[in-house]
Amino acid sequence: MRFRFQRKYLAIPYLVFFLLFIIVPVFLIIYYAFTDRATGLPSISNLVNFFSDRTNVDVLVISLVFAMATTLICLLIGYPIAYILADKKYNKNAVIVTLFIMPMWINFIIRTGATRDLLTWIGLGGGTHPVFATLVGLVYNYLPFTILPLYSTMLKMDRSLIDASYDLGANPFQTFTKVIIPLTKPGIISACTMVFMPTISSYVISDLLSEYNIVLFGSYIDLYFNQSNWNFGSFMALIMLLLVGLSVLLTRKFDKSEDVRTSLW
Amino acid sequence: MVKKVLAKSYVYIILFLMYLPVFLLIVFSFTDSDSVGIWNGFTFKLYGDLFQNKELMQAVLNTLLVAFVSAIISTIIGTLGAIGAYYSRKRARKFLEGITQLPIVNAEIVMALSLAVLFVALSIPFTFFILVVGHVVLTVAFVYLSVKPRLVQMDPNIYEAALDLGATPRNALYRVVIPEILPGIISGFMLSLTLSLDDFVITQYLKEPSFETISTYIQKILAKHPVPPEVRALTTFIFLIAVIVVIVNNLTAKKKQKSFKMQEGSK
Amino acid sequence: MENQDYIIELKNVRKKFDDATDYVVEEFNLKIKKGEFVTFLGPSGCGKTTTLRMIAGFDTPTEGQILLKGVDISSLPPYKRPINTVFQKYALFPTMNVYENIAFGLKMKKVPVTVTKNGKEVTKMVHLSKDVIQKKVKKALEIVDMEDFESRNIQTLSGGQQQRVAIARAIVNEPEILLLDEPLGALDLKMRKEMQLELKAMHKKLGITFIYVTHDQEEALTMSDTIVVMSDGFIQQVGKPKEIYDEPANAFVADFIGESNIYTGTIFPDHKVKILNKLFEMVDTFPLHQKVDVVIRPEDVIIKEQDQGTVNGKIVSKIFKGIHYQYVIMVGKNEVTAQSTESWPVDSTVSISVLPNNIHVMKRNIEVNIYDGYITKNNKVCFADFDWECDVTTLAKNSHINEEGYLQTEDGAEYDLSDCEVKVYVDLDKVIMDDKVDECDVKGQIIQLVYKGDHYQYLVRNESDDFIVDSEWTWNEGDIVGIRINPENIKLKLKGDLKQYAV
Repeated sequence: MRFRFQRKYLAIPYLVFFLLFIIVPVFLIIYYAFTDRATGLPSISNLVNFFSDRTNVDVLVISLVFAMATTLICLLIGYPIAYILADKKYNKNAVIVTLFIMPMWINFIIRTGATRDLLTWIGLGGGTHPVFATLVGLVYNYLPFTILPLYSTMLKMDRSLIDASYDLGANPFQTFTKVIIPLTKPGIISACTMVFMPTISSYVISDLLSEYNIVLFGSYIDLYFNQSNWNFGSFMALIMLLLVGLSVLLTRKFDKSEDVRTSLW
Repeated sequence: MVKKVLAKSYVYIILFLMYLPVFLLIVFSFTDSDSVGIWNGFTFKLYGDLFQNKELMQAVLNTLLVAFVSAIISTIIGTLGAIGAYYSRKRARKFLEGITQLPIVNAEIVMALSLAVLFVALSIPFTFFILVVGHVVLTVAFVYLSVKPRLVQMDPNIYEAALDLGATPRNALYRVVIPEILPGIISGFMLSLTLSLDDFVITQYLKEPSFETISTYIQKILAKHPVPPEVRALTTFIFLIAVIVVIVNNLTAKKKQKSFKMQEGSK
Repeated sequence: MENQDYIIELKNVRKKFDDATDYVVEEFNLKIKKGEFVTFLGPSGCGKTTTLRMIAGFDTPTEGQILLKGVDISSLPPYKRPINTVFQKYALFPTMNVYENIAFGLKMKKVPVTVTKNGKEVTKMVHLSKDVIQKKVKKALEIVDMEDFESRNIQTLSGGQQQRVAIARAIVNEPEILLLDEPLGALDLKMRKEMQLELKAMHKKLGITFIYVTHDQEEALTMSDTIVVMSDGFIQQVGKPKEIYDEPANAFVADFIGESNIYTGTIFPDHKVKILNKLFEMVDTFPLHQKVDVVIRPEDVIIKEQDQGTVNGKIVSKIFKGIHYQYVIMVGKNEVTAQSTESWPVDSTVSISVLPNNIHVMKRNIEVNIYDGYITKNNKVCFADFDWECDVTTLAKNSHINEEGYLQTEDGAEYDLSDCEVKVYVDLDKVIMDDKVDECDVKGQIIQLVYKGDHYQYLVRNESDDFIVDSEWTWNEGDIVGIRINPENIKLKLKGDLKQYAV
């Protein structure tokens, strides 16, 4: 039979590309994670090694703590900003929103380097204040990713619901906790995912800003791979992958919004 | 009123803090010192040095080359993928949507090292081509996501209308569907470009040792030194380009709105 | 050749979508003459748009043939058919202006041209020249009265203007058949009336065949030469507007076209039919005692002083409709809708009569639900994808179920009824619809409903079967309902002989 063109065939290059370069590599990681480095045979030695060494688990826990702290700080700073920007009473100018995104167009490494140099200059550098410097670097980098999803949810929010809440006798605090927070929940969740996962895996920011005093999980994976210990590195990458999967599952129920990075353009 | 002032000053303070590091680099690009914080008098010397620094210039060129090549490939594959998925059966479409989420939610380092493992395992040498593949992995899903909403918004009957009027499927796609989703394709391309220009992790893992982009070149120096003086001058240029892009973007958006309103008014 | 008279013919066309189990269009047979204005009329989901799409070539029939001038075009792609469509929401290309939209089809077209090349005559396929295209577009714009809009952006046009562009875009290609899929649905009432007349005039002027899809019966009656009434995938009736209105083929058509009173009646001797508890004279001939559907148009109900007509009733409502009053008269438990130019006071008792030739009597579609079922191991009956409680002892006189679960008759014979095939009968009024859907094991969706004076008749469908339900309660089309049948109302009849199930 003659091949008949159908529009769905247009997706074939996309599908093949994904299979070759995204799905197969993930399976390769799983394969290496459960293969012993010395013997090359299937084994759970990496798993045993990982959990038997206290340092490994500590790095994971520290990373999670840092990620949580970063997420929380970003939310605390970003939520009011998004609220103000989305409220016509305070802000009639959409350009200000663009101003919050614009730093992202400056090269990430340059931005991080500049932050480090600034902190060093004013005496708060990673050599003396590693935790503070790392947090500043992380928050600085991820704040726009917090503001954008919150802003877009708040724009869509029906403001008359707030009036209704006041009308029905709720005070500003009650209105905030009972009406505004639930209404902006999709934005909050999307903001959390945009910050939490990348923070655990990010290693450049913590390496540069803490001047290698703080090792996050991402740097740890990087370290093992640079030592060519693929199997152990793969196992840690797999843990990372599981964490990602878990967070996707957790947020899937709530979050239907598009990835904020697409709103850059 | 007080509330308004408070709210506004909060926004501006945060905004100021966000721009502070970059502004410092720009301010100190007009003096000849080893790091920010030391002012050695006003001079344009660093701008001269910038163009003299062959390694950095090469890195800028490499960055642009990788970004444009990978953005073009991403845009083609991603757009076709989105169109194909849109016209696929529900199950196939769900599958494509599902795998599209993978590179978006996945940690960049996991993608980078899994690709590195793949190419080493297949003993494929790390060349420019491999680096481009890595960047396409990073960006192609975003093209898909930029194009998809345009397809969904599109009146599904216009493709059929084109067939009805005698266009072959290929013609209908080319003359009717593609123009209709063009804004999505363009924003996908721009997004892909931006992500690629900014990328460090994938580049670090997949580049040939001698090949440097802006990110990898500067990162190497940053390990032991502050931001190099010439890079301060480079930042000024990057910032200017960003400002121009934002202004142009805003103006065209406004113009579109205006011309639309005018035509509306003439009814 | 006989086929020459007909421009398009649909032969036993059936359509089922890939994943669906039900056919959307069933046994569709229709011949359309050249130059005719044919309307497919029916409620949403009746298959009219699918049929249109099959004619256009967007969908292919699962079975059957579509013949264009006698040639099967069932699998010809849309771009090779001399048929053009005006889409429901216009489907104008937003990236092109008015001119480019209309010129699109012409630019796609290639025509044979004979040229002399090296002294030889060669036929070449060439695109139309710019001049020709421009002339044709201009003419099309004239036809739809949009001369000065050539360079206008589509988004800046009003709904009515877009509509006109869509029509121009289709007719500029001089199709043999023009398909119109509810083209006026998005317009407001006044605009719609105006466009109806214009379309009709255009049809006359262009002389091409129009196939028009609508759910608006008034639109269909106004515009068409022939109306095809569809419901639930089937053609219910094909005829001229007047035929369809005056002689509806069944209760559905009567209910759908115009307003009507529909009753269930019984045939009595001497051309009489009993409705509203009285005998009315009729002209049709039907077998004695048969249950029938009787349709009476409101304007055919004659209101008289009390006791002067066939049956008395009380006026319960009166609405002024401009040229006449519309009354609802209660005759016993039945409602009668009547129209009259005379004014009668509400609450007064009047008498009504109907002329014999205004009593439309039609065969009743279905008098009882019949299913093919089988008895399950625990003496339930399975049909419509569910095991229903029932009384299997009705299958044999004076029988009972013994301890082993077998059917035991008076003479002590035992029968194992499991898997025995039965016919299941359920009266229409014995199927109970329940709004506590979650508590019911069987659910269905209301596909169709007809008001019959004192009750509604519903067609309820679940995945495997249909239920016809008579109920006094009001539901809406599309409602999901639970279905219950009390065991005593399930009547069973063995398909085979009981003896073969003896233990």
